[in-house]
Amino acid sequence: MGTSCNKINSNSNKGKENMHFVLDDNGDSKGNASNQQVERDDKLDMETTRWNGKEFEEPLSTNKKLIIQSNNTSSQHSTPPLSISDTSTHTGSSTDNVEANPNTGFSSARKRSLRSSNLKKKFVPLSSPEESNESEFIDDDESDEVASIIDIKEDETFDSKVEIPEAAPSSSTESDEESIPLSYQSKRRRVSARASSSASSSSRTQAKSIPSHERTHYRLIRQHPELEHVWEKLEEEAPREVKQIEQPKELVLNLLPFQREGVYWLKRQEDSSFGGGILADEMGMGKTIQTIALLLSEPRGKPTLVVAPVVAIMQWKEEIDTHTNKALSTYLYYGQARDISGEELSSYDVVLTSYNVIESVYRKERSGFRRKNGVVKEKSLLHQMEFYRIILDEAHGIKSRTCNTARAVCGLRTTRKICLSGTPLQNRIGELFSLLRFLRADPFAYYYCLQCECKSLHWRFSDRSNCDECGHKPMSHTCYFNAEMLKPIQKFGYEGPGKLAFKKVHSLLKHIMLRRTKLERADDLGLPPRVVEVRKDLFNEEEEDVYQSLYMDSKRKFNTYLAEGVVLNNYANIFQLITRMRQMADHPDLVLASKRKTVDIENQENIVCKICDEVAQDAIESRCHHTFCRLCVTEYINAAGDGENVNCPSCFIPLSIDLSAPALEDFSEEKFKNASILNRIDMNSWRSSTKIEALVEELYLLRKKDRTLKSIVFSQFTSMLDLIHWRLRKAGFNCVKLDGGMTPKARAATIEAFSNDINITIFLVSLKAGGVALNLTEASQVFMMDPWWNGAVQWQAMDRIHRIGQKRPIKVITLCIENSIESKIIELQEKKAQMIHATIDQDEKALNQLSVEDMQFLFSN
Amino acid sequence: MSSGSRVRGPNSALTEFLRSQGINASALGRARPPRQSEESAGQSTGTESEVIQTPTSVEENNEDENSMSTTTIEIPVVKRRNLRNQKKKKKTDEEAEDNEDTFSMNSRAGFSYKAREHTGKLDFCAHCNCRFTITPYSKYSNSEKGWLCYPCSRGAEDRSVPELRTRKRKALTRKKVAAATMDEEISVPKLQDLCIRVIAEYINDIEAFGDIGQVNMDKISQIISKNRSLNDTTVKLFLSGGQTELKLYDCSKITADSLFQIAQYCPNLQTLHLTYCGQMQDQVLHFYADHLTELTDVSFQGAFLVSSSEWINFFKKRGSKLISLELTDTARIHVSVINAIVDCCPNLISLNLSRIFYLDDECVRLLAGCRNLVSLKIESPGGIINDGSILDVLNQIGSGLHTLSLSGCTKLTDEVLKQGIGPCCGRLKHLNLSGLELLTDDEASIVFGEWKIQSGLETLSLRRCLSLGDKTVRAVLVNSGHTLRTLDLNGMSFVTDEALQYIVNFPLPMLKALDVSWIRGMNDKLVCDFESKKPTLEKLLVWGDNHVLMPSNRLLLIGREVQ
Repeated sequence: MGTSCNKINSNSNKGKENMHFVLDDNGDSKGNASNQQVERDDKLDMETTRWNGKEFEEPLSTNKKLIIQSNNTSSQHSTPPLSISDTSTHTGSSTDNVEANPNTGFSSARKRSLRSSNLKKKFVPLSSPEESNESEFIDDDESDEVASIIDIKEDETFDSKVEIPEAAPSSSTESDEESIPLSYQSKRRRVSARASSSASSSSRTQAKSIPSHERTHYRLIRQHPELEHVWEKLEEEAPREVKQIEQPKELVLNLLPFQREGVYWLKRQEDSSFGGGILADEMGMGKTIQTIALLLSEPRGKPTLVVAPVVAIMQWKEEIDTHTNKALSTYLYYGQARDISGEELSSYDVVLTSYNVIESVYRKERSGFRRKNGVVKEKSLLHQMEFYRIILDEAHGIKSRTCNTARAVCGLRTTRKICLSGTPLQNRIGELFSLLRFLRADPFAYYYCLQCECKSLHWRFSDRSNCDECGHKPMSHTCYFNAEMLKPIQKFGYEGPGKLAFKKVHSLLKHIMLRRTKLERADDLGLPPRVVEVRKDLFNEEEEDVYQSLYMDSKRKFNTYLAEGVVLNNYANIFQLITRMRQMADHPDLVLASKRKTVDIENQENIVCKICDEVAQDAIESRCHHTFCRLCVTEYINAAGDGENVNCPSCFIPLSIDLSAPALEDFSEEKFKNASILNRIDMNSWRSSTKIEALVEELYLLRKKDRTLKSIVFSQFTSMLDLIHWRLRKAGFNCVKLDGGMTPKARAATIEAFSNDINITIFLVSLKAGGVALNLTEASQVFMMDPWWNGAVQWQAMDRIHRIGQKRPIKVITLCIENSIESKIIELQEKKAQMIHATIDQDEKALNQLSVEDMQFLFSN
Repeated sequence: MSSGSRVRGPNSALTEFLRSQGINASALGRARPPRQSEESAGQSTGTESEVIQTPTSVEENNEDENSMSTTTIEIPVVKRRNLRNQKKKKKTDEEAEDNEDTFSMNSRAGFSYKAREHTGKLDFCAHCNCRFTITPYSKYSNSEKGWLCYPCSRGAEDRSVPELRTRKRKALTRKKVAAATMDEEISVPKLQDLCIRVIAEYINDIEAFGDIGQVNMDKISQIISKNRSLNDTTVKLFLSGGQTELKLYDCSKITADSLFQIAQYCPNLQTLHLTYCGQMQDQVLHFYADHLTELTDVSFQGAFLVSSSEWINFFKKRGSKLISLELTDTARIHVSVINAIVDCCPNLISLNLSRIFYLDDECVRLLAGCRNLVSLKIESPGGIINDGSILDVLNQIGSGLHTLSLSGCTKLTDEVLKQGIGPCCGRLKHLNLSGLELLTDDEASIVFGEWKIQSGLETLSLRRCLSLGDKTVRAVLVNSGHTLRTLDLNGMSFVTDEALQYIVNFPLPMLKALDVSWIRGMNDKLVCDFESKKPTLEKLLVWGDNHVLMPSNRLLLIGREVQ
């Protein structure tokens, strides 16, 4: 008996543990469980199932009866099936134990249930007549939960014939829970049994496994019966026939065959129940031109709002003007002067604006701007108007649904919505939601109450605890997208329910998204082949020394976080550590001179002339905030001769400068912060870095007597671009620079200068500012200065040159310092690329995001 | 290289500190036990520069020991590193690495931060007596016999500012010179060239031009291509009835219509080189195949729109006369096309296949059928090429080859050298092995050392063969030093300054161009040595050699960090 005593102890321990898990599981159903908890949950389920499996073969009818009895006698009692099965597996051979254990198990469970009765947790052992020991626990946190369970059961009995076969595949995998195949079998049998036998069997408890995600599904359907057949309906919808539209008369450019298909698809999509869609062709396949063709298609409505990143606005206007022969009138709703009335605005065919503008007018309308005389609010013109159609260019800009921009964009009113994006998915599946939200895809973007018929597009809880519409708690509301697709994928990855959810994502995307890749349409496009290379270099000794000290420091910090288990709390800090190391790999000065001067102000003149690239003598500043030597700029203006427009040599907009202005003194603290890094370091004794030299060498190899090869250099750090700019100009290369701080006008002028002036062979572009919506087919070489694990950003950048109109072979070189963090970043990037392929390109592979393990990987040797 | 020199390279702070305590870090080396520390502790007296006396390792031969034990401190430490010391440390480093591969990050290079001397050390400024840390940028004052702290070193520089205007002019010329250096245009251009440039500038008025001699046509073509002004209008300048040669260097703006015209206007073409013909379509090549019946020398670069079947058709019709063929940058050439080349072009002497996306073992094996090849270039293939296929080819036709380029076939290993190039290629003059990262120093040096069947290479590129080192360099020099004209050692980071010194002293009577980029041991002194001891040398590339700072008078020195 001594052994059995031990067992009792262990049983009760198990039971306690079990209670924890139940709690955890509840937390998960609220939607805020951490991964760890979920893992434990899973583990437990596995254990259960193993026991179940063994138990399965043994005739333990006594146990079963007991359980059923207990269930019948008091539904408040929770019987731990775990403990019973546990003991029974261990002691199954001896009948004495079999008799003894159920009692002890039961009593211990009773104790526990007393303790926990206020928490209202319960194990409801359900077993069908044929199946002996199928057991699962069901939990809920609502007070009326007994009723709700019964509700579910009743629902089951009525509509499970459709329900269960559909749910079945979701549970038919191995790795998630081994119990599930069992429950699956049991369900099958149950269904058949129920179909034939009397209703009495259904009044009995059912052996049913309802994991949390499925539970939400059932509860959703209970309150919202219309959701039940969503996926079937989606599947039933007629497959798209591929048709091509006629070439619109006004369109100058000839559309390629697949582009005509695209326009046809867009038109159909606008008339469909979704009222729009996502055009996700790969970059450089002419999304803009397809959209313009759509604008030209009949019937034509006014006005269409085009929201694009700042960089792209001018290009949109230009392309609309040139490709349509000005058949469409455009208005630029951008910049300071936006005083225009609603009626006037409606008279234009196309209104162009940027995300920033939309965000700022929305904010002004909602929360107001703080001005001297209090908060100023103003109605937003854009948000009052009803547009015929809204087009979001580079729609992945609103990938975070909580950001203000996304909210502002979703607040616009229209019936036709088009999203354009070459990379609709960058990091995680959740990013899709934001687009669905904008499209108001019914029912995917809606929030549903699990307890009543409340259905809403907005998450409105003004008093933070009760829904504005139905009064229920936030917990009982769920988003259909989350419940059906996001949660299973997060929880199971590409296994089991996750696989089903992936299928759902695919079938949804099939209906609202059109994606063609360059590879598929290579023949239509006539694009040149692309060579992608990683050039690896090594630090020199001095750099390596500095890097090592930084690396050791960072690693120590990270390990501290790791040891304390606070990695996720310090995400921002760790991010900064990584960023610093990446900057160090670019050039040590990016870290050393990031905030402060490395030279003392008294002795050093820090202003660099943009013409001679030396420390400026007698410096003066132009209106576009570029500094020159007085002498240099005077000569420059004189050289241009009379009557010609003189453009700024740095940003190519008309130059405006007071030649007799007093010389600039050293920068004030304020100004100094914003100034270029060149002004913070002593450029007279400046030394280059391995990476910069590697770039210069590559560029040198491109210099040929008989041809001009133009290159684009991307970096994430504008300071790095400043340094490269300086180094290249010193070496006799002509280059121009594009960064986020430039006005659209200066931007357009710079781009034009690069495209047309054959002497300018290098374009330095900041990844953030120029990664999207630039058409630079004059260039045929791309250099990525710093690898980044979000490969999508890089592909975006590379595709600035790999697009229609490119006639030269393409080469993309990523520069990487081999003995630094960068080589690991490149590995991570490859992992991420797989995720993207798994989802949008419908290629079945694993999905990844930057997790704690990823970070650990970065900090490991 | 006097043995008494106390010149040392920079060193890490810890090493320096330990050294001043009499503990020698290199003797402590990663994989070896601390053997010498007590002994050296006895010798040290605390000042920094005499620590050099401590023997670096036991293996060092006696003469080194002797020379080192005599050293005393009188001569101040100069910025340049002591070559001898450094190479010893390198040796120890490398040995350590052999023993312990797990010592990760810096294991690829021959250099290491452990190998430097001064940097990071604390010292007192000779001028203001402040304590400061020596950095790679610190300056040494000859007048005050000591290192200067940063503020003083700035003050110490010659601050006499030249007159503003001349300074400006200098700055601008400096940029021009830097650009000219890279374009290798150092001398004054010829009047003829200047005239041609003017013509190129006004190319858009070509109708007004009369006849220009054929010789100069090519130059004009180059300049116009460089200006990116070669288009449908300007191309007519180059088309005349009787000509037999046409080279266009940037056809990206020439439409299919004008490409047709080439064959229409010049049916007698024997040489046709078109670069970047991204607009060439099937029809164009079809037309060429039918009309350009005299073609012998063809180069189509970047004709990525032309399909497989059309290539095959072209070779079937024109193949029999072809002597030289170059095809690059296309994803539409498959095995069948290669097969057609081999079958239909029996007279091919020169074949160049670069950046062909589906070029793999199967394609390469077929090339063994081109019996008459003298020049074979397989560069940056898109598929994977292994030793086997290359060996097959070399076994068949290797003995006839004068030129062989396997640049960018990254999967090739020592076997190619050992069993292919070494025993087969007796007539080889030009060899390009760029980017063959898997070659190893030991094997490569053996092959080059025992390669007796040929009479010496004229061109050799070992660019970015990352694991080759000193031994190979020596073997190469011994083997073909008397004939070498161009030697490319770019990116071979295991090569030490010892080997560079060896190159300096080795008689290389023909050497014209040398690339020693990314060999960090390169420094100003070596540049001077090259300048004085290699009278034939014209061009020296030193990208990423961060210790080369001074300009050179005679040499075309490209890649200095401070241009």
